[in-house]
Amino acid sequence: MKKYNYLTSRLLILLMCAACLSCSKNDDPQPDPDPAPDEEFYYKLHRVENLAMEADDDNPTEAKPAIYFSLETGQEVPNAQSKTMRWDLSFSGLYNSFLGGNNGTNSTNFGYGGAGKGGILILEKPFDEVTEVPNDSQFKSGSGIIGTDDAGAFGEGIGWYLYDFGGTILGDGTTEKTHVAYALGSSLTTNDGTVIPARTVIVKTPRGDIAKIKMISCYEDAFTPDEWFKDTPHMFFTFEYVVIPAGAKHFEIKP
Amino acid sequence: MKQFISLTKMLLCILVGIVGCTKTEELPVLSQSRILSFKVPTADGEIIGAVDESDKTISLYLPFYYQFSVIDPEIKLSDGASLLEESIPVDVLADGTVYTVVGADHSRTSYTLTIHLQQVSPLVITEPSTADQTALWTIGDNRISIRGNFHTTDPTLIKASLVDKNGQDYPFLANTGSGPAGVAPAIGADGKKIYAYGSLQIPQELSPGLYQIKVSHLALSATTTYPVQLVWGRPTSFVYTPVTIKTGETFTLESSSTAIHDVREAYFTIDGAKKMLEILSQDTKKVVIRVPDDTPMGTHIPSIVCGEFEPSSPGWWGITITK
Repeated sequence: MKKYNYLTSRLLILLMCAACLSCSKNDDPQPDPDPAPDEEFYYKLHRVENLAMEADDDNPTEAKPAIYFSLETGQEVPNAQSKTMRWDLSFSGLYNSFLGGNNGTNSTNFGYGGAGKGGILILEKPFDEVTEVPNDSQFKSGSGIIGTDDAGAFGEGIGWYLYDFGGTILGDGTTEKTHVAYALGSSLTTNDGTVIPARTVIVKTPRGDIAKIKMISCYEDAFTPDEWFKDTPHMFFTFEYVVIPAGAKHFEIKP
Repeated sequence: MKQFISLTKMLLCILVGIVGCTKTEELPVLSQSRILSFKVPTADGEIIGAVDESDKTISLYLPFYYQFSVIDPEIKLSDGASLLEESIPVDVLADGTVYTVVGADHSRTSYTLTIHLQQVSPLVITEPSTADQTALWTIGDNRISIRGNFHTTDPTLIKASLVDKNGQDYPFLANTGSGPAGVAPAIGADGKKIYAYGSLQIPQELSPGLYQIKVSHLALSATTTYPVQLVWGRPTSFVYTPVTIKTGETFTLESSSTAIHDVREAYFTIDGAKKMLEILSQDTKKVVIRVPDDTPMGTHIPSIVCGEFEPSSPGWWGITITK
């Protein structure tokens, strides 16, 4: 009986070895790598002019549906695709003027539930001087995070634009200069001599790429403060940006 | 015992024979136009679709809690293969989406996708009316809230409408003067989670009468057993449009909520007295009013009288009359 057990165990070992030796091929398919953007995409300066948002001055407090934008394609993405990774930047809230990234883990994000791992932050630094990628922990994952600056009316922290409600902060006090939104892509000096440094928005895309964005204007075909008035057609966003791949730490523009 | 040892030896020989066999059996050549995997990325991983080679189908079971209205799958193909058409996001209610794979050998295989939505069924909505009492809702009201077991906080996934006696559907407006519709979860008196789909507006164009409420959430839908009754009301909220005009010119009062109807009077109150204005036209959204030539200059707050209701007025902003 003892011999029987001994032989049986040897037999089993042999069988297992045979099974292992004869099954060496790995049949487990690996997922496709993420489609790599065109080489012309990274480290290049991109410019978007007059990205149109719905605006209704008769109902200024009525927020319109959010707009989703792909930095890679330079195009708007349909609202139904909000929980996909096809967009990088959202425009929401009043006059669609509040920016956010695409993040699936934050329940306040339009991408909640999706696979996006993006975020957003803003720096009080000119676009050209932003060379280092901020620490990952500084990115905020909600939607509608970056909007009105505290230097103007209805400020909500450091924002990408200054809202001059009465036309007296940056304007000349005339009616035409009331209710003007001044993009802070470049620094501005208020009527009382205060210098407001330029702002640069940093976006982490849902796939982890990093973009720095210079917000230039929200008025149609008007890109400098002297062209912005209450009745200048709005909201038409103009901005410039550079995207670097996930993992890269330094912003630069390559020829 | 000898017999047992012989049997063992025989088995060992068979085993050695099997392992040592070098003859290669030719298996049927695999198609080069296969879908190897079909995955939907999510916040917490991925949902894997089952690819069935026998009937060329893909089955995807999609839990409700992801609140997806579309899926954007990642599709792994045979080496060298490509999709005939670019993969685009698919509506979760769409049935029969076909993916045609073109192999490196130019073979073609088509797979049909079926999405199985895993929702909590049935959809139940709280009835505003009962068998004994019919709820009265004001036409144009923009504070309507519908409660039900929606199991979503995404208002874009819910559709709600009023259905008249002829079966005609009138969707509630989900983006009104008081902001976009929202969904707020709460725990009901019975301890169950219930969701209020609120800030909806009854279209101002509707006529008085009985209407059922119909709600759908993705693949589920429900209709109330008892109707609500739509009635006219007193406008209380107007779109902010202060204007400066001359006597003889017109201005418009537009209601942002309750529908305007049967406007019988329009007037300014000046020094405690009514200065009657001329009503040029009216519909359920607005009334166009002319200011008579003898109206005193200044800023006057307008009022209108709809049917038998008390006067309605913007209350704090007025119309400035100049020469």
